[in-house]
Amino acid sequence: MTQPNDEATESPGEKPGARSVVQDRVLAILIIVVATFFWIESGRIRAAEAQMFPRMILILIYGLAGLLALRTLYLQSDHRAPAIITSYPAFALFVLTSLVYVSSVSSLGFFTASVVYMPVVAFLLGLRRHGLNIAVTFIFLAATYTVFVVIFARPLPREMLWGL
Amino acid sequence: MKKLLGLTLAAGLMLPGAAMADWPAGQPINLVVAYSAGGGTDILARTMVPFLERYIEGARFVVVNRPGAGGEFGFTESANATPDGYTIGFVNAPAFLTLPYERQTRYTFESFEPIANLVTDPASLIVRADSNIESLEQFVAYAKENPNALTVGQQGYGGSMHLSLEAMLRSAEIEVTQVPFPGIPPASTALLGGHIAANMWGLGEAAPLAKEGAIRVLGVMARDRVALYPDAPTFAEQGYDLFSGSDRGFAAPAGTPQEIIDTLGAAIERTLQDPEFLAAAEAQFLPLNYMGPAEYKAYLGELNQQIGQLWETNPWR
Amino acid sequence: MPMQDALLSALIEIFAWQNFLAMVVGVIGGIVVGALPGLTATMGIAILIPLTFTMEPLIALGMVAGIYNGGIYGGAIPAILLGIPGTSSSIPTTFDGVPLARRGDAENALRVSAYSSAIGGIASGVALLILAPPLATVTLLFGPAEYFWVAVFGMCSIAVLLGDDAFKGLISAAIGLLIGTIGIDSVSGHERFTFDIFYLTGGFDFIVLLAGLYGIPPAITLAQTAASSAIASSGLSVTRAKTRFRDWKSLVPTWIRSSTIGIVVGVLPGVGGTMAAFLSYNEARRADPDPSSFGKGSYKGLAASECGNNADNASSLIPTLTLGVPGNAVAAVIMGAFLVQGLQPGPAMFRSEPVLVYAFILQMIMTAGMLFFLGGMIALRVFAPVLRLPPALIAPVVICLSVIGVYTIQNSIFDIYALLGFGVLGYLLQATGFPLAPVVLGLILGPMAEQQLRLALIIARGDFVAISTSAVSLIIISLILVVLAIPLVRFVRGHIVRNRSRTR
Repeated sequence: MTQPNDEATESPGEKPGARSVVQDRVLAILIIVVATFFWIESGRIRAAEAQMFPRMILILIYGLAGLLALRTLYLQSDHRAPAIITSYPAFALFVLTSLVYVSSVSSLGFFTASVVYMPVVAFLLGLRRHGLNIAVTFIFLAATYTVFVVIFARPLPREMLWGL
Repeated sequence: MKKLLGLTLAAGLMLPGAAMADWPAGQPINLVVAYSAGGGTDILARTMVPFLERYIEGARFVVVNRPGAGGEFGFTESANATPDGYTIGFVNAPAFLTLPYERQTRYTFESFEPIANLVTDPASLIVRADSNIESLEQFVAYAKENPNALTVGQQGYGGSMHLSLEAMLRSAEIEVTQVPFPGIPPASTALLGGHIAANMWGLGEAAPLAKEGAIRVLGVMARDRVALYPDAPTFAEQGYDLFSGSDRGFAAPAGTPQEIIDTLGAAIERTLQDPEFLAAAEAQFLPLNYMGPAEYKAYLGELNQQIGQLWETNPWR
Repeated sequence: MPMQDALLSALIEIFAWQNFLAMVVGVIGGIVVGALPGLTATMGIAILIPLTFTMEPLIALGMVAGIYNGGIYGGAIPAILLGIPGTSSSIPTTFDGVPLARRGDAENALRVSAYSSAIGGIASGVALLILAPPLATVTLLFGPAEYFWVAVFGMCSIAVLLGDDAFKGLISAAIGLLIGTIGIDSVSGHERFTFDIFYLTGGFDFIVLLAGLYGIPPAITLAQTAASSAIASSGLSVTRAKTRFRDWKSLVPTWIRSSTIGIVVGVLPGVGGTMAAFLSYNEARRADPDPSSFGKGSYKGLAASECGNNADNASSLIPTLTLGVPGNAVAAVIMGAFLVQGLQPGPAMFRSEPVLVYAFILQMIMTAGMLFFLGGMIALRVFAPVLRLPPALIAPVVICLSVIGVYTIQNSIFDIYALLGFGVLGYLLQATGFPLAPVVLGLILGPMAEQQLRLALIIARGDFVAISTSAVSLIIISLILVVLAIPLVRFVRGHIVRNRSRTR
């Protein structure tokens, strides 16, 4: 996922409200683009009675997004929007490692993937108490194993390492 | 017949094929249920598991719920699993047969190797107990005089009760307004509250309420009166040769070794004779109807053909 | 057997030690299940059912009652501590729970929520005991047309959740409505917005959306906190409360109001605890002399939400026990638990097994009462210590927990991708000033409104007037008008007062 806009996170110091105005304008355009994407797809709904409600929602979204954009022209918002992302490296690191983790759960198994993901992410985010890191990982995984596998017998993806 | 099956089972165990060598050792057998936990099919599956584990030595079953898209997710999963006997599924007919006609599914009827049928719930037409309509004859007469005036609940287009209802409408040459409820409970409150005139339901769901005296069963689409609720007349008795309903059974992905199919089939048959299981089934109002692998396969094949014909002449979507 | 005798025998039965223990185990298990995102009371009971096959009925039903009451309360624990509602019905709990935890009053907040849950649950159980037959007839007055109006009524409460920016709040709601249309349309059977992706034909499971929107953004925020502050401290930890909350008297009106709302909503099949919590939160806010304190750490708001969602519990079993018609997923599963014991819920059960039925109802009341003692204790002893961990660890723990919880709902790998997707969406929405609660409410109420309206129109054969003329519809429509008119009247009146003071 890309960020909606770069302007939104420009350094402070501009006149108050500018950031929020730009941000809202970009968001309105983004919403209209996504809504159009859905509008085209709604053309494939073959029954008119099934198509009606989704199109009503889309028209509502168009209207609201339009108003949101218009408002930025006439109203100087008097509050500054807080930064969307406070730490880009941490955000990127966390979202990307999580994505890798999620995609490896099906092939490696939940416990195998987690036993790597948890301590590594904690380390990369700056945790240097390695004992605590490893202890928490194992306690957490033992607890989830007890609840999900032992007590509730939930079927999980096959584990690569210990053939659970 | 029973003895014969027992013998084949014994033979199967004594002369294990290559695939049978260690089945079901070690690995758990996944039993895919295409509906969510707590639904009728799920409870049936979970009730069966301990008995299957008793009758297949060393077997361990895990119920895997894969609900969604009207059962399509679950059916796709069990149809496309590796045919090694470690994944089998519950198939709900006619739902799993109608889906490939309605849309591009990732499985066909041929993707399955039927194992055994467990439950056949005949469709039944019901009205509220204080309704003016007291018989099927009166229902048909009223519908003929006032086309589309009667509102009849069913559980979604392409579902078993919709197909049963369509069969009845064609046979009696009447027209009603069909109301596709999302499941049994909302249809039930709507009928009891008098918001709709009638419902097409499985007898298993209707029998408890009928015994309460809350509803009246006008007709059951079974060959004979059903032991579950013998007071309900059949459609055939009243001059309509209609036999329709929903079936729940086991199927494996096509290509699963025949020995495994037979072992499972035999274990299912023994479960359905276990008094402890029979008591549980009675409590859950399950109209049991065992069919072995061959019979079940033939039955489903015929049903599939009928649905194909209906889709050709009268697509519901 | 007269009711009093049956009740007395039932009362003796439930205090047998095995039965009592079953309830305690159920409550504890329920709290844990409810507190973990993805696991729900429904799932807990569904998985328990086959195990109860060989149990004594009262042991089985006691555990079921415990899981139910514990599970609905359990959702409040992560809602307060982390801002992640464990169940959808504890979303409004986050509104005031999170600000309270931030300012160091987590312990008080947990205690208020446990007590409020217990009171709501007890009130609901008493309603089930005394009012079941008359309330059951109310259920039957509601057909598709009436449910449509209920959904519209619920949507009006979105207005209160819009936050500072009405435009953005409405867009949030519309996003929820749009997500709700993805998948197969249950009335016509056609696919909508599936973009030829197989997994989208089933639509999104509600819990996936909930865990994504509410569970992942706090984790992303924590990750960034961890990276930016060298000394990793979450600032979330539960410190011993400086002052113990003692002003229970001030919560009494809220409890009475919320219990009533929860009980009434519970009787209506398919409406559910989430709506009960939202409605009672709104009403508490509306009735308060200082509505602006809500959302900033008001104990009344917290109490309203938790009392409301637990007051839904026992009363939602009224249609099940008296008519044999389960009103929601939990009730359907509980009906399964009765069936496994060879009991067919319905009026006949009250005649044939009065002691058992009353014992179960008393177990519902008892297990709700146990939340007084067990609720706060488990929250503080078991869950609160988690928060002392550095945020660099809490963030991945939340992700792992959400992933396993969401996976077990439908055993779907696609769902965990959806979880992450909704997580990033939720983070961006929140960071750009879009409130999340309207998204969830839109997703719950949109499909309900559309489906019921279309069913109602089929039944009425397209007659728009006919769907609003029943007595119940008219009552709900007038409620809608009142709810919409109150803010307007207040606004106008405030305007006049201000003008007057200006001219003087």
